[in-house]
Amino acid sequence: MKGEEIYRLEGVSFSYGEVPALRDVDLRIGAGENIVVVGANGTGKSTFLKILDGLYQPSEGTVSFYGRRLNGSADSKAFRERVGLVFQEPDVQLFCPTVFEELCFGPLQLGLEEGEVRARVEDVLSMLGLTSLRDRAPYSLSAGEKKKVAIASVLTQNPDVLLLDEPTTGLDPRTQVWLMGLLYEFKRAGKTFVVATHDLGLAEDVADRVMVLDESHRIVADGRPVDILYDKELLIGANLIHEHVHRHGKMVHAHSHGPNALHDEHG
Amino acid sequence: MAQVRLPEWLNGTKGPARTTGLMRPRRGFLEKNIEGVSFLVREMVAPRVRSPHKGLLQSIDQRARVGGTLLLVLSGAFIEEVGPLAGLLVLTLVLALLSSVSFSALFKRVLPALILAAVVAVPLFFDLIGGQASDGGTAGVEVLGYRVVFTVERLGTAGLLMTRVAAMVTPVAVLLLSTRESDLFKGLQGLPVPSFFVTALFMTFRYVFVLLKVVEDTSLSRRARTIDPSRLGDAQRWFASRAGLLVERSLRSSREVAMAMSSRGFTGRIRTLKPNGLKARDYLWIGFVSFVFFISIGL
Repeated sequence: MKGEEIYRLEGVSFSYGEVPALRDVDLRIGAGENIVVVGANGTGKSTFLKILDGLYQPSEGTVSFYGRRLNGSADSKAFRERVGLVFQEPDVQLFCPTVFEELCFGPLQLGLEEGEVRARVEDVLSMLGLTSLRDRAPYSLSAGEKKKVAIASVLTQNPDVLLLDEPTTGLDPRTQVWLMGLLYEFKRAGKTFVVATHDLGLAEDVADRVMVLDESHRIVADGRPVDILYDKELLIGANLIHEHVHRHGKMVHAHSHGPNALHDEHG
Repeated sequence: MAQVRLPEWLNGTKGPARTTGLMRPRRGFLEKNIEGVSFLVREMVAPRVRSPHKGLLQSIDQRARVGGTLLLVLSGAFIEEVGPLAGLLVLTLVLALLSSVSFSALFKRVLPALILAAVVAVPLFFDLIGGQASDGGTAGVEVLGYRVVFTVERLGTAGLLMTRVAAMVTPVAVLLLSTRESDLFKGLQGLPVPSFFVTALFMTFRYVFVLLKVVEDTSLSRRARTIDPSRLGDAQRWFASRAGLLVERSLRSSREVAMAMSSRGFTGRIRTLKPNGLKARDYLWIGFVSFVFFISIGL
């Protein structure tokens, strides 16, 4: 049901040994929300997604999924059927001999009937334009193709919640546009997704909620894209944009500048 | 934006180079070995992605193909005479021909095994007769008071060893050259081997190449900043540090792969698609190689 609480995180912190990755995260995620988590490199975005996917247990605090504490239950079929994570590095996610088998892996492990698995895989191959790659070895694909196959391999599980870690990294412009189109479709289908990225353009295009992780590994802002993405001080503080200084003739001109031109301050 | 101030030595340019063309980077002992090992592993282990699509073996189901190859290899192990072994080798070469396998590619893959076998076989050609050379009628040379003698019996033993190696390695090379990697693992999955082992084997195979790429890239990045080949001691120290990096990378990758599998519902038991049924020609092939296998036991 749209709006129903899926996740609740209370006081969640995570450390790799002595090195903190995430601090004091309190938040709720409702069904159908399309969230983009932005943050500079090393702020804990990937860790955050792995905690949501039940792969990491928080060092402190609790994570609940549909009101139930997420501990060992993360390996339960009910959880895995509902949540899918696309890893940042497709090479770690693609380990089957062929693209077809890669797409079959998830639903087979979840115990789906073989006939249904094959039908789902054919649908996803066709939907994402990957049919010509079905018998190829995933390692032999280009970076963009690998990313598409990694996404497809999670889609065949038909998750309600899709977690994507830096989905646009290393993609050519055409594949980035393709990805945005796909996320629009998820949005239309009522799926929940959480995307971790430092691509502010992606956040502006697909999110209806944006969170900012800063270099203290805390969520320092959580709100509507229009409120977050136009807050120059906030974005500079989180190392997502920087102040750009240049000259117009004799006049020195400073304006914010980032990976995506969100602010046209020349106007 | 923070201003960056270049140090004096970084200011300006060096101007045109006096040398003509790019200097060919010289490779040291370590670089040559890394490139050589990497090339060897790729050439010998990696089946061709673009193996010929049409041919006798290609028309046979992957499981029958892999199982049949195994029987041919076992036949080579059972035969005890050079003649039948040579016959098995000829049969394998005919299979290669009918499967559009290039003979030069086949030779390249079999050659390293033959060289290794030859290293073992060469001493077998000769007999050492200790003390005073009493066997005055046998041709040979004196070495340190021993007479090194060439004998027909030893020639037969060495010949048998070499022929056996060729007869056992060639079917595997033909399989690798006529089968895509994905089909090879599908074939293994069809054999009565626990799927966990096949998956582990495939993942080892898969990630060896990821790590090989890391080694190649680090070697290349070192070469890009090196003019003279480094001294062996320096190269060894560098290699030790890179080996540490490689272990760290492989551990990190294995953790990530395990998480990616868990994330997609893996709980310790791998479930795979059921293979399709075998066709008449697959049974015919299995019957044929089984026949070869059984007659080889008596030879």
